[in-house]
Amino acid sequence: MFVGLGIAAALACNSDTDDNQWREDVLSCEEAVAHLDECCPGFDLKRVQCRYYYHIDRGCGTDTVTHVEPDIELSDSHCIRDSNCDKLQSQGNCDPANYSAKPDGGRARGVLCF
Amino acid sequence: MPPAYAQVQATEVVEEAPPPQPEPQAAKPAEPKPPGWQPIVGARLDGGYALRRVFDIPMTGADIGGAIGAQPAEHGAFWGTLRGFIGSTEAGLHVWQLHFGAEGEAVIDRFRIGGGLGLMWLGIARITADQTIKTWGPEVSAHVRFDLIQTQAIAIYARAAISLAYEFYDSAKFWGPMFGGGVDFDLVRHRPQ
Repeated sequence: MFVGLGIAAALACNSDTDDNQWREDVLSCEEAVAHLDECCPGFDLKRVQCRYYYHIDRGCGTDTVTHVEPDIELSDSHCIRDSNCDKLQSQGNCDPANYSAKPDGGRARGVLCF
Repeated sequence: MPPAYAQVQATEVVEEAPPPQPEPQAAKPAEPKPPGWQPIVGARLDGGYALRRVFDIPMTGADIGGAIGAQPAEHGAFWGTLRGFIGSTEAGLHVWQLHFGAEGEAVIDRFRIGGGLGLMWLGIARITADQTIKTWGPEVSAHVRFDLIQTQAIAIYARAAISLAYEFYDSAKFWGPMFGGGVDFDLVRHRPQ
């Protein structure tokens, strides 16, 4: 009986993690940052995160999810990669602060691409 | 009626002499039998300019490889191969790939056409962190080769190939052609001229 309860508890309170970085959005983000590095003198690469992470603790009362997406989403990274340096500079895309969350938790400006 | 012995005599008279036997001729030396194909064991090194693509990210670089194999028949050869690709994406991310596998090819005089199958490991270096994002999967390839120079022990050739790898993590395809050349050394048994 205790074994059965233990198995039931384990199934009910399990967790799942996806930390695989081989994803199109991650690689495209890295490629976009490399292009920004070519086009934007002094661009601080380390302020942009191209990381994916997903973790869920489920079952025991509530689900807790931790979810990190790349700072530059897929469509924006395509736009950056397809833009020449003049265009990136004129659109104000050379500031790394545009891509990372603000210190107060506010939303980043993101990419202006048109 | 003549006596019986007379008949015998007559018969002996009409009996023809046996045809002259041809004079024995001097025995001709046996013509040398053409030798059958003898297997060749060899090694080769090749390399060239390569284009690759994964998702929609284009890459360029060098594709280099080595192989050890055998040509057990006049029109067929097989190889065990180790290949590598070193290059970069359009924006400069470093890319490497390692492949090992087997190839088979049909040999038609100086021309060869073949294909291969193997496993590959692929890595792309991040620019935002000191890390390499890696994956792996099966890879197939097809190639053509033309021997530009053939000596008894060495062939120098031009080679074109196309490869397609499937990686397991995000079901992406890593593929592209290469154009280059190489040298093929015979290690055991030299090829007929």
